[in-house]
Amino acid sequence: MSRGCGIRTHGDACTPQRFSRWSSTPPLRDECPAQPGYATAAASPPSLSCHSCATSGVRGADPFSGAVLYNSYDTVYPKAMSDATAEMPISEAREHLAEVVGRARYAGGETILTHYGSPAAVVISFEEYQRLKGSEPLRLPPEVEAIIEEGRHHPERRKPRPRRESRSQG
Amino acid sequence: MASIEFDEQPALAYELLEKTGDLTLLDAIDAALDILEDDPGGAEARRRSFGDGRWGIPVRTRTDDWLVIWEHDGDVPVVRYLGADPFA
Repeated sequence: MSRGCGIRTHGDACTPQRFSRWSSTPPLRDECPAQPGYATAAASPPSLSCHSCATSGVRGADPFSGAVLYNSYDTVYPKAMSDATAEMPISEAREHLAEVVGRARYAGGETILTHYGSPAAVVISFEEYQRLKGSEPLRLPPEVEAIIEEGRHHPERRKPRPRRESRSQG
Repeated sequence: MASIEFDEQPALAYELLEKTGDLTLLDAIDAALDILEDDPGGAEARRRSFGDGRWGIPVRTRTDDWLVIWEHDGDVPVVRYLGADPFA
């Protein structure tokens, strides 16, 4: 049976509708034959498996949360999940570290790592860490400072935000 | 909802991206700009602090790490820099 990846999202029940909306993103193609509502991936890494049926190469949603997992961050991680808090046993995180870090880095998600069911640590993005630590402002490189100063001194060159006629998403 | 403006460098950088047709990156930049437009006071628009009222929104795709730096000029959020993330 599947071990699953163990990620669960707090207070967020899984719904097939929710997943099917996400599964319309390009990398997700066919419905998993063993688990309706789970989609097979176009090019999943071989180490990935379906949470429910362990079918190799299946990318899907967590049965508890509906959270879409794994890589192709720009397409698989939807904005709706970007601020979600999820949890994963440390033992599972060892096998999915890249995905957990990607979730923090690219989707802004937080993953609580648990040890025997108790929260032990949290994986968050560096930006979030910096914000929480109240760190000193970052020092911009001189060339970027020069660009900013140039803009500040020439407000007459400002333009409204450029708008594209068509956007390929959103 | 705030109307945002672009300094010369970010306007040129955006224009260049449009010409080269890097739609994935453009989409990600537009998403960051939408965040700034919707809520310039929100945490998402202030992911990085550069001091002196300047804030940064990292823009990441699978192949690119870019950064939007903006600040308020009066009530108007002005994008001061758009380009490669020097911290990536």
